[in-house]
Amino acid sequence: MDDLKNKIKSLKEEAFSDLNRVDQLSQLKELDRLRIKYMGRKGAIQSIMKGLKSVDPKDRPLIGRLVNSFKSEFGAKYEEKREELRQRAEQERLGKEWIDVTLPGVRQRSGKIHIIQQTLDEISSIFKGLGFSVADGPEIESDYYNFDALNIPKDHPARDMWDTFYIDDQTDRTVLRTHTSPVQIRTMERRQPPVRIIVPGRVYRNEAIDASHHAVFYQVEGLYVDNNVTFRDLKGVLSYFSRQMFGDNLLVRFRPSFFPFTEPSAEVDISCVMCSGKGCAVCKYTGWVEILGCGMVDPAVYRYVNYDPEIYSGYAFGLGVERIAMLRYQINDIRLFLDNDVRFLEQF
Amino acid sequence: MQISYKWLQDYIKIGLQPAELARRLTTCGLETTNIRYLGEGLDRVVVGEITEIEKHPHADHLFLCAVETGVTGEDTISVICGSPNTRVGLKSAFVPPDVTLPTGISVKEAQIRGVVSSGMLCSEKDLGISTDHSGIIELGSESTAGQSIVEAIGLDDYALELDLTANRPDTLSHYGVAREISAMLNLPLQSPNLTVNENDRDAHSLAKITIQHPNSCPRYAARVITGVKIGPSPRWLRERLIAIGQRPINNVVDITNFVLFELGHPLHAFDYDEIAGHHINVRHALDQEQFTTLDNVAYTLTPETLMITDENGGIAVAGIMGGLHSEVTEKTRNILLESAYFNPQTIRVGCKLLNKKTESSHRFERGTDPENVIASVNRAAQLIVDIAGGETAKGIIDAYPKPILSKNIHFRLDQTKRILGVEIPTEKIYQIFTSLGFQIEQNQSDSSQDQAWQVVVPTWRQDVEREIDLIEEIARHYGYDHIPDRLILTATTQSNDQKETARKNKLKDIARQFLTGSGYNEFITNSFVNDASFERSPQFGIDPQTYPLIRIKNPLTFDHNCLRPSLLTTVLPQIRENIHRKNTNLKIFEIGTVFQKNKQTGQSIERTVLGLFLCGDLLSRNWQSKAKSSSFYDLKGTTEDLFSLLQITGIKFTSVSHAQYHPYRCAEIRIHNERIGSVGELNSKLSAAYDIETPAYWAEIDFQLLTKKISLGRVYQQLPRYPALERDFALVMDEKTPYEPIRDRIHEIAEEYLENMTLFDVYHGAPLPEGKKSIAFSMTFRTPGRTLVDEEIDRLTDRILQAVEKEFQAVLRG
Repeated sequence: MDDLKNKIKSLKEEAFSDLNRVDQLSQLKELDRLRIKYMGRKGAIQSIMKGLKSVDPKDRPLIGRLVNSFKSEFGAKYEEKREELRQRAEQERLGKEWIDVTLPGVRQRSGKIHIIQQTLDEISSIFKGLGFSVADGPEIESDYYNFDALNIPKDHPARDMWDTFYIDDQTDRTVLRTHTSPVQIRTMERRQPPVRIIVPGRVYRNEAIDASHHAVFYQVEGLYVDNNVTFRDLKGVLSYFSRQMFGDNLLVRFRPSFFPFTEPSAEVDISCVMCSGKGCAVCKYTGWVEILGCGMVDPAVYRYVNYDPEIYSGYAFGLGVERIAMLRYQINDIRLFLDNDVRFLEQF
Repeated sequence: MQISYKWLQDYIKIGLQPAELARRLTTCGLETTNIRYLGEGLDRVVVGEITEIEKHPHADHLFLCAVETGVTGEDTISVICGSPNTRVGLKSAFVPPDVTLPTGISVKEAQIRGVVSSGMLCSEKDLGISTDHSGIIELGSESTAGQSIVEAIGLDDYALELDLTANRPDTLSHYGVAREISAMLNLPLQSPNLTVNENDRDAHSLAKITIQHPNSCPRYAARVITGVKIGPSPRWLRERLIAIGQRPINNVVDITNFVLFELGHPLHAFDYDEIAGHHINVRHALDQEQFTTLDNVAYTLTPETLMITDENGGIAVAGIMGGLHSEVTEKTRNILLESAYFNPQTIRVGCKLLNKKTESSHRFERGTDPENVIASVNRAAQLIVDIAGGETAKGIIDAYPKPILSKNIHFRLDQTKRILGVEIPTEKIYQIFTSLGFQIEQNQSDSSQDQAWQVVVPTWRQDVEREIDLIEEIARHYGYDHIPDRLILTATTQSNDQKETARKNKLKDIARQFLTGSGYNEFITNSFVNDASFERSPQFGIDPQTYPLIRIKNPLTFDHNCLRPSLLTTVLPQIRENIHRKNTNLKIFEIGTVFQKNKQTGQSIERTVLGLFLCGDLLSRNWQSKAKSSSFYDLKGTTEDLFSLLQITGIKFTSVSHAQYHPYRCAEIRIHNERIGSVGELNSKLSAAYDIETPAYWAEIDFQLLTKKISLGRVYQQLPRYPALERDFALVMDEKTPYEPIRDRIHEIAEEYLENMTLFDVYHGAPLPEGKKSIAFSMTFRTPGRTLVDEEIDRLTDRILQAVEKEFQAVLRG
């Protein structure tokens, strides 16, 4: 009986040392052979079990336990070994699939929305958030909408504020709109207050083109007419807009100005975004840069659209989109926008 | 307009530094855009007195001067000077060596023809203070050698550049600006001396004034001054004009200019002896009347222009410019001084017709002060006598057939708060009004709730006519900064127009997002084109003789003479610029307006168009794949993707020919039989004209028509629950048989069973016979509600194959 115990013990030692010797990936088959050698139908364990009948019956449970423990320990070791080899094989295979992750990716470059359009969109979204709706109108206008109905009479020096392109059509009365303000009139003609619109669009001025002036540019016009709209509301909305566009730390200044279609009128300056108001070439050493013109709608304008100025009041404003983009992105030449050099367009 | 800081002090004692004054003026509506120190860069220039002169030994026109510069213990300095007024005893401006003047003139010690010159004597032009280059500066006896030139010629001053708005002609003068400062800072204002010493001779016996058109000239006043001597102005007067950038001419002309810039009223001095009959007649010009202005420009006039005439004809264009004939010259002894009030509109029309603007017309067309007529003529008359000698005849000949009355405005106190949103104390409003010269008559009868005043507006404030104008004055002087911001958000419903605009803009946004996501850059090009480019490139298909182009009457330049009839016409020039900058692989789109005339009505038509451009490599060479050049099908695919994104169905591409495209590589795009655009390979002559060396592709889609076809509404489609069946076929047919009709015919036969049909191969060449092609496609069949069985699809595909064989001679590839 002790013989048998010893035999099991030495068999166990032999088996484990066999298993431990298997550590090469190529030895997966060897591992299988060992399993058959010890655990197979003709294996070592079976031969021990065959000798069990010669053992004293009272010792048989003990031998049985020894054999079972041998079996389970061998099985666990075998599985562990197998898993280890499998994992190493997997690692080896993955290792062969190494790629150079630093090589450039295959790109499908996207294009860019023109920076003027992006700026228009941004301006519009700020005002939409304040309850304004977008309106539009034609670029070829009658001088009635472009001037007369905006209280800019013919033969008045105020017309000099807009150098105008005329369409060659024998009337002398058709112009390329010099501002998007005609849409104010067109909108008010068709609708009673409240009216709250912005008008983004292309405008034309017959001006010599240089780094800061162009004959073709974009404007966003705004108009709000209702009961009880005051200069305070104008200031509130445009200060909010300026800070949204250029940052919260900005100083905003309203100073008196003159437009025939607003009274009182103002121009809005912001502290220079280039030098933070310290003075530089962009702000001509004043610390301020002008971004828009505005004012309370002149009662004379209401006359053209049959609004009662005793009941309604409102404000209007107009801002130059190129100017805003130039300040925002530190662009020093307005001509770049219509040049459409893709190296420029792709920067934004 | 330029304002001299020092000059202002004649009327008001301003305690503020120039920069602070500029800031205050700006916040009050008189925008000050620049401040310039007149002595800038002249600190080392001093008064030099010429003590000796010798002729230069080697040059006829040069003098060798000994110049005393007031440095004690030093010898005089030797300076070479070529000025004709060089003489002993002359005090002038001396620039020592190693000084660079603001004009860029750099003075160095130099040898001039063998003689050393240690500095330079200079003219006003050399110093940059005027354009006078007739000789070196001549200083008066009060200046001393060595004194700083800044002090000696009054350059210790600042010129403020005011950008004044068109409604404020009352501020176009030093006194006018001082008046505004006085209201702003609450400081007393000192008016210039307006008393005139007259002789006993009645002016009315010397000249006569007739106004034929009182609407155009409500007031014309004149004084006569006899026995004057024309000569250069005294230095103080020259300094005043130089400080504001004006060129001194002679004493009388300088005085009229001085009064213009002092009081804001334009005057004109005539040579009295040149006025025929000594009779001024103000009338409109005759048709075809000839007149030469004093700048020697001859005009042929029309009756819109107002003239000042004598018995022989025109002597001045009213309010704009005097004539050559009656101009004040060195010989002038007697003067008729004109001071008038002209109708602003009359002067403006005259300026437009003559295409001429002067300091005078600038003020008259904006509206001068009719009461300033007398003050100004008196001021100028006395100055002429003081400076040029002579005597002023007694009285003013004052023709004033149409008196202009002060305006009286009914002002309701509660309106200020209604417009400005802020309660401003009545006392403050009262103080603002009175400081600006407005007189207030309180209406006692009103209850306190709707209290109102009658406000009398001073005659110089031509811009203040209504209650709202008074409210602006209050806001301006109360300070915009003192009106607090208010941000109240309320909703405003959209009109149908606005909803339609929002929809159009949303579709544009979708298109922009999609196209940029697909690699296209957005262009925004100029609306102007040159019609000559259509003649140069007939491939545009736009004949400038017959095409209803919209032309500009007054173009900026000849190459901007009409509005673009198509986007291609403005995109191509920008493509060329890009190619010149080596940007050769281009994927571009633009959404913009194009213009043409309605041929019947002549009305202009504006359309929003989407243009797409492709050239060069679609995919550039990289380490994974070779470069892929762009093709017609790439651009067509982009348009199809866009249509599909916008859920537009019923699109057809059909062969068509248009000059701008390759004759066999272009298609018209139709939606339910309406033409909405085209796509094709650009005509190679056209692309070559714009320096495009690779094939280029262009598509244009009428965005407005497209927008009408789109519904943004979506309805969920049940996802399929039953499996699909697939079948692949290859058909052989004539190589010019178009695909789309076959595809459409198959869809027609298969009805709703055919879920999808994908073309996966088009093959030419062996073993197919010459002139044949094979197309291979895969069809997916499915029907909702049940599983299809093979047999029914086999029957269906048999029908399809029979039909295409019969109708298109397309046979199943064996």
